[in-house]
Amino acid sequence: MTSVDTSLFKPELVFLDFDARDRAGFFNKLGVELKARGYVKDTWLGAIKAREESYPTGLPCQAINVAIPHTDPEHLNKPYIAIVRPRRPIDFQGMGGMCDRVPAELIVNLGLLAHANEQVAALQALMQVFMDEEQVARVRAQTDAEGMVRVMREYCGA
Amino acid sequence: MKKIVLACGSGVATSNAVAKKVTELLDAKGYEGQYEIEQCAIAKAAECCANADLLIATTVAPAGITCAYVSGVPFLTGMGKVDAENQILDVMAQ
Repeated sequence: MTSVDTSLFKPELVFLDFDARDRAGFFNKLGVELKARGYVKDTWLGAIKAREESYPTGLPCQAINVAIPHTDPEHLNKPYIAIVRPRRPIDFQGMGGMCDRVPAELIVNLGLLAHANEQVAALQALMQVFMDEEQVARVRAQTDAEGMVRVMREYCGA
Repeated sequence: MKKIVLACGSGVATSNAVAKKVTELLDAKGYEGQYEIEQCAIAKAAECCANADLLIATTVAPAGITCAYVSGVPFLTGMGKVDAENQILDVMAQ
């Protein structure tokens, strides 16, 4: 098993109590934050919105509803994983046509570069977390960015 | 030798994660060496699947696919995973 690159999780990439009314508002706001921190290019916003429409990423996991929006590496400056907990769940469409509406309580924006195994390992590790009630309870309980990064690194780093 | 195509929007992120799960499943069931996995972007799936036995995708089944199709989403969420595993094993047993 490839080890997870846990440096992808950073406090500056955690957004709690994120206020967005809908999916478009969410991407607009996240785009501003990521751009300000130098992670994404100008083309990212249009690309991720289009991608989400064509290939939705809402996932009703066993322990929590999440969405894992992502787009092609050409729109990134450097790899990252952003973790957003919206103030109110944001509706995504289900991945693979599994369901029409997934009110996402946690949104993990994967800024992954092509064929980087450590990054795909991070995605796998996250999926394991979202299947586990106990781990999800701890993720939900975090009240600041540092705590969220600590928990994610702990669960995904093994 | 069965050819399994793993596809997602880009052929990079979710299909890769699902490919690892499917490999674990098939090897655990004794199919090691009896299958090959090819990853591709869903836009190229019809081409990739021309001589494939099975398409596993994290998107809806694309038009023009003649081989079997199984959703890869249960390998991400855990929901419906046993059904998806059984569908894949059925194809392997054919």
